[in-house]
Amino acid sequence: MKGLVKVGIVLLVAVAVAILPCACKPAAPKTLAEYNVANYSDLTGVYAELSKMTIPAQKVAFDYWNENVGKKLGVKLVHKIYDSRYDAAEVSSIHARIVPMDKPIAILTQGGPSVLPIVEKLPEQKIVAIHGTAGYGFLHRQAGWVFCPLRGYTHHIAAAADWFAKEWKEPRKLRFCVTIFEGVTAKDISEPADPYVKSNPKIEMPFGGTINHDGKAVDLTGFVRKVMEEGKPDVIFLAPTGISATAFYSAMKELGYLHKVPIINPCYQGLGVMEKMVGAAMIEGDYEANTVNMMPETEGYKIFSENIAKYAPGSPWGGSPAQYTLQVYLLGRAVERAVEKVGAANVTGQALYDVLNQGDFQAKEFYGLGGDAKFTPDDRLAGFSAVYMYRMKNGKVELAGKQPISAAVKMPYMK
Amino acid sequence: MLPCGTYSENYKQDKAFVRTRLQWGLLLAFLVLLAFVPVFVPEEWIGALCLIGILTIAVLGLQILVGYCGQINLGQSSFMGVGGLLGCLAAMRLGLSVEPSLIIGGLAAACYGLIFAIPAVRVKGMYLALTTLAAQFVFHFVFTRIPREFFLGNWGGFPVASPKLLTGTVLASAASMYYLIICCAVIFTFFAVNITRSRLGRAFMAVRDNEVAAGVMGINVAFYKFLAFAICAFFAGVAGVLWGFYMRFVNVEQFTLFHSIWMLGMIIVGGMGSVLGAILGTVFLRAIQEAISVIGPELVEAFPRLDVGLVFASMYFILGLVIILFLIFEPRGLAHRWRLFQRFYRLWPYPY
Repeated sequence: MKGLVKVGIVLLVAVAVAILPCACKPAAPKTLAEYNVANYSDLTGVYAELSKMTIPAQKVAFDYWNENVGKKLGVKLVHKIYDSRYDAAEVSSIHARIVPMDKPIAILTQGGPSVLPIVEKLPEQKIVAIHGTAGYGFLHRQAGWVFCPLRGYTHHIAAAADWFAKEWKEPRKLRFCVTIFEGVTAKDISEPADPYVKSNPKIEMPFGGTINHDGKAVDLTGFVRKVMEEGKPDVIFLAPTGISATAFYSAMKELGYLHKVPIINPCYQGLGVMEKMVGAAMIEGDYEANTVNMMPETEGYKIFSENIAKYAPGSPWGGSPAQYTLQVYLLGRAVERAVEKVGAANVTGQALYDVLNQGDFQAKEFYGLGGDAKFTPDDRLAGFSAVYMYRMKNGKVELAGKQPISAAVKMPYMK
Repeated sequence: MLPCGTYSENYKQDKAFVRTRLQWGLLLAFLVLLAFVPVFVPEEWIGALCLIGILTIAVLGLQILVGYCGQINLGQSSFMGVGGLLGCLAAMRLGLSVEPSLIIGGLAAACYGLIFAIPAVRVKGMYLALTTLAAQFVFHFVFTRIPREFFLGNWGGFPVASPKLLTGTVLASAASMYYLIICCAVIFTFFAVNITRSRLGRAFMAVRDNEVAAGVMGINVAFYKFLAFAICAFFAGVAGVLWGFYMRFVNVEQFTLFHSIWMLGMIIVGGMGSVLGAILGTVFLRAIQEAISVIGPELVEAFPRLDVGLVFASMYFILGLVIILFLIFEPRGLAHRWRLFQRFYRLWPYPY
């Protein structure tokens, strides 16, 4: 019997000795399923300066997601950057080449020209697009393949108007002026925005609605004089091009109106971008309406600040880097859900579309950069439910308030 | 200059489009090559070839107006836009097939072009350039104000369904669009070559070289200027419709002054007053642009710490440099270089 016990012990020890090195040996590296994600950014066009801030932020977000989430899932997202030149012709050309070559499962877009030429092709090619900035009705259609968590500029204008009306303490109505650069975009934004803003009993719109300015103008003195003298606005929502933004601020300064009437800047040309263009002193007291949380208390900012030196030391944080970082995280979350459903090796554009279409995304999933987001086939501009109002104070951006986006804002959808 | 031993014995031979068996062989081989492109060219390059085909048609039209008739035009992109929007709208609203849509788009653009031909009767040079520049601004001004109900419920543009031929065949794939575009490009090249060889083309050249002398010879200068504008805009309109069908989306903002300038650049680089120059210029500049969009991302991927903007901006700096060097060392364009090569080949081994 003793002999049998001895033999048993010896065998157990032998097995343990044999197993131990295997147990201690690091696991063989799991093969990662790689998926390409094409990024259409304006690197040499009118918004090239903006991309200098957003691309490094996106690279950080991709690295972070691949390292901390993707590895566990067995997935790696490969970030492929292409120059859209903010030109629809260029986008259609690169898109036609990239789709068969890279076989991307998703495309990250920036601005209208990067989406317009592909919006009809995406459903056929089964590729989802996630829009990095706010959208307008033109880009979106029912059950379309472009997702826009930041909602529409119309929503931003509506919420900014509501917030200022809420803060307004004078007995008379708030004179809320909206000026957008001339073009199709302006029509698409103002058509639903104007009736909504005018329906607020505390608001009056000078000129009866949105007025347009020349987006290519280098001098807007005459226009600003007209706005200020005839419109006598209490606040101006300015949706300009890069050129007209500078011209508008210069004219405000020249005519002595600067800092007398607050200007709300849109998310694509927010305080961070304007600070680079005209300096912090010029935009002191002005606002930015954005659906992302760019305050430095967020986990998203912490990730950015800890890793940005790898790609662009000193690259600034702000609304735009936060928007495009969030774009990557939303994609990452969609990939996570798709992996759960179809497995790491089978993630496709269709799988991403399905999870984005049905998914309720929670604020915590975006590392504090965004709120809850829900997309439905009926509303591609559904997304975050509130607009953050940021203000430039003493040369620093601070959070002035937060305004829920009213469900009464109606967007026109592409037919 | 004809190859040695090739000479015309009658008027028909003298006017023949293709003169020798070798030329027939080469032409057929080239057409067969074009037909088989989707078979041996990777799919990723079909899109680039489609764009080259569309632009070739628009640039050929511009060449007829600028290179042959000597009338400057900075509004070619707007002519494309008018044709594209109205031709595709006809296809969408009336359910028309590709063929009538192309004609409607071409005619609409020709009518629009004729409006800007009126000043050409009275002014020329920089003054004419300014009036055609107005075509670009008028186009944007008018088409962004057209009620959205007109554009199927959208402002300034609309999505376009897959085009279908008169036979009912739906052109949904990239390869089928390639065949449509290349067929149109070949047909319009044939038209352009024949225009330049005809009485019409000679009248254009006479107007270009000296309006007074042309008038003295009995050429109705105003009429031929109108005609040149109409032809130029017709070509652009057809290119615009193809653009809409290819993009599956047409919008006012796709047709900018920037594109008009690029098209002028293409005929300058290719060679003014040459159909071949228009084609070579388009292919050359588009090829460089395509190369940039390929090399740029590769560089960014290979050197992730490089400033992405700087990489792409450098690429365009190189493009600009290539064009400048080209204009300095070969101001008569690529077509001239090709003619020199032909002459050298035919005379070889003799040096003269």
